[in-house]
Amino acid sequence: MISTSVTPPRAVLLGQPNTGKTTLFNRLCGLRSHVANYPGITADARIGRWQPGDTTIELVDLPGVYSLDLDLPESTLCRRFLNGKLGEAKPDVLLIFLDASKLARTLRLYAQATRLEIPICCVLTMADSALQQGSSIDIEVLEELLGVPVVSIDGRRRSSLGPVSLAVESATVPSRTPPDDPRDWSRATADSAVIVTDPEARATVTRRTDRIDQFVTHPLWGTLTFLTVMSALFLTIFWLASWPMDWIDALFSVASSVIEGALDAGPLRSLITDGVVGGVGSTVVFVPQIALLFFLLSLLEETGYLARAALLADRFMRPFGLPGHAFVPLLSSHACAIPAILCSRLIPDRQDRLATILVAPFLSCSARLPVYVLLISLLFAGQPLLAGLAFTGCYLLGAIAALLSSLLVRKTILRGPSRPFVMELPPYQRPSIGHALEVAGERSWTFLRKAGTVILLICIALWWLSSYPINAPSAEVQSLRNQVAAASTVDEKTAIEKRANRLQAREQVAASFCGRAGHWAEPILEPVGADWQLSVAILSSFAAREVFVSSLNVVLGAGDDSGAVGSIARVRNSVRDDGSALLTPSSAGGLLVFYVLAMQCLPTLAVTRRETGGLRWALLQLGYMTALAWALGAATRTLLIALGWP
Amino acid sequence: MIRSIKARQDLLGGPVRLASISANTPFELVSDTVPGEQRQLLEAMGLAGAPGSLRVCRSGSPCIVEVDGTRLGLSSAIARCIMAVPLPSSR
Amino acid sequence: MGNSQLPTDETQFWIVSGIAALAVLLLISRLLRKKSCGGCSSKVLPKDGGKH
Repeated sequence: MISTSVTPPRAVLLGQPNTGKTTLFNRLCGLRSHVANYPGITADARIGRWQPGDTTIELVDLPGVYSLDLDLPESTLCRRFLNGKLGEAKPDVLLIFLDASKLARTLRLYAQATRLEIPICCVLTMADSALQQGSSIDIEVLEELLGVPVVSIDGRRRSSLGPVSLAVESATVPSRTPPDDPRDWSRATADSAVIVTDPEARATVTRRTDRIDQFVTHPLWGTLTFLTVMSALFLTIFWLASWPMDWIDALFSVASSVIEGALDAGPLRSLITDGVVGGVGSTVVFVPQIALLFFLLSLLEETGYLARAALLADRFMRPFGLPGHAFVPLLSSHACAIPAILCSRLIPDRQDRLATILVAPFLSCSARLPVYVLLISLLFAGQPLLAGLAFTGCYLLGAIAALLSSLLVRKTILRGPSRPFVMELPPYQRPSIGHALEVAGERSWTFLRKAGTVILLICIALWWLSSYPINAPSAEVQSLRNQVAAASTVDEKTAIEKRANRLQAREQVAASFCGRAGHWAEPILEPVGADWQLSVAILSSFAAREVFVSSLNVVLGAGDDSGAVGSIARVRNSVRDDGSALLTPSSAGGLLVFYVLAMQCLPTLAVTRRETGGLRWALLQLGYMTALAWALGAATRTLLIALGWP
Repeated sequence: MIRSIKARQDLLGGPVRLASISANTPFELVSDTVPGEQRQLLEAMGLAGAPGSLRVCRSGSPCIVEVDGTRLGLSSAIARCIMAVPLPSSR
Repeated sequence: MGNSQLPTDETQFWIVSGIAALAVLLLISRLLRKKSCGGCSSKVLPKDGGKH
């Protein structure tokens, strides 16, 4: 059926939300997209290449839709794409996903797709869920009734995917066309194809699901469960990740020492040790936390709990002008604001969607993790419980800021009622550790790739800006150098030489391009606790907030001669020009609040501009978030000083 | 179809709002006052348009119903807009 | 102390400056051609933008 043209044939995956489309797409193409156990996670069509045997097929993963006729963004995208109205040719084959546990419902979409007159093959998924509920599907009967090939798969098991290529090869335009109103037809077809194997099983599963639903959506117990689950999640991350983080930190320190031993002092050695190893190392050290966060979130998603949490969230978010639909984008925002903003396309109402896009970057994304860890480690050294609570506090502060900001915009520039909420709740199921590991591995690799490209490039540029122009040593340094010659003992000589080196290096950074920028910004950022060195780190992290940690290490690295092992220890031991500690509890607290709330992410602003269709929303987001971050950061620092924290 | 629903209403009592139905009882949808676009989505999910059976799994706010073997979570605002009549087996 | 044979500090300055300039160019080119999140390895259909 697939034509042999120069361009590879195109097969399109079409199905209702949560039928396992994206899982199969990832398996076949080797690409990874986020697969969540609630409807509508795929907001964009994704394209990949699949090579069954000698052929190459272009696979397109369309967003999950309940119907092709809806006036919703995902339905419009599917309709236009399938009719070849997006500047692309009509697809060669349609793979339509049928959920074995709710066959009648998923057959309605099949019925609509038959009108397109494109060769179809059906992919039957969730056979295990159906079996759990005491039923199975007679595939031969279903093929006979539909008149197209049907293949049953388990997207998570690679071994079950073999028949897919055969089904695609034998895809055909259906000989029987269902009626325009397919409801009765789909029920009758499902009744004929479903074999009930255990009539009691369904009742048992239903009773169990009812009991769990009653509990997790209960206004009191459900809320307590939600808070407990989220706190446990973040405590586990902070506690478990500390060991591998220490190992990675030590590894980079050893690498730095080895390079220092092998190369003579000079610009090249400084570039490698301070710019490359120091800068990138201080970001890579946070990979264990990122991996753990995604591993645990993925487990939680797969259980089916998060969809219930969205339902519960609707009740709490509604008074703030946000619909329950916004829960999924806002939850995704804990990983990255960009997929969250893209995902908010699925929110049907424009006012709701704009409010969600504007406040989504307040939610703590994974890029903030390195900054949180650094500042919290300095605030609560050796106190894991307090550190865990502070960590949870940062996430809560972001969430509260998002809700209150939403209330503000819905009362002012985005007035109007929110739409009522309806959402499909997937069955409870045991999560797959293998899949969660895959998600964690993929996200960590993405972060590492970013550390190896964008962050590395920023570190190199920043190192140069903090090393040049060359500054002539001051009279004080000259005087110390003279004292070295006059010193009587070796120990005295070494000590004076170290002091001279440290002072000269500090003077060099202060007089560099970076230092000048830091001094210029210092009066503005001083209220939140930043001196000129921290100001340099804040300015350089405007494009990407996680750069703060590596920038600080690059700036401090140039003036560091303390022999401190590891990036956190280096920041802890650093001092300001007046000799006081670089980060005191009050300045760390002020900066922490600043980073929880600040819009330090250029790609997010670009996506906001694209998704809202105008620059003004992106500028509003930038201005509002930065001003709020500065004001609350300064207020926090002032409060901490007033409470006796220096 | 409408005549048969009318007959059942006469037999079993008038339609009630989804929001006020107690849990675990089978009902049949009869009408709704859900506005515009939202109604299209509900129709595609089997919760509006033509008569169909449903079971309320959790009453109150939030409301959870089961339609065609699928669980749907609804806000109380939507649950108030959907009217249903009890199926004979529930009597 | 190291035992390598590195060029003079002035030559090293030109080398590191060249590397830094290259880094800036690469950074700019990456930012300009970036159309989607770095977190996604797949393409995003471009024609959908602003259709909703």
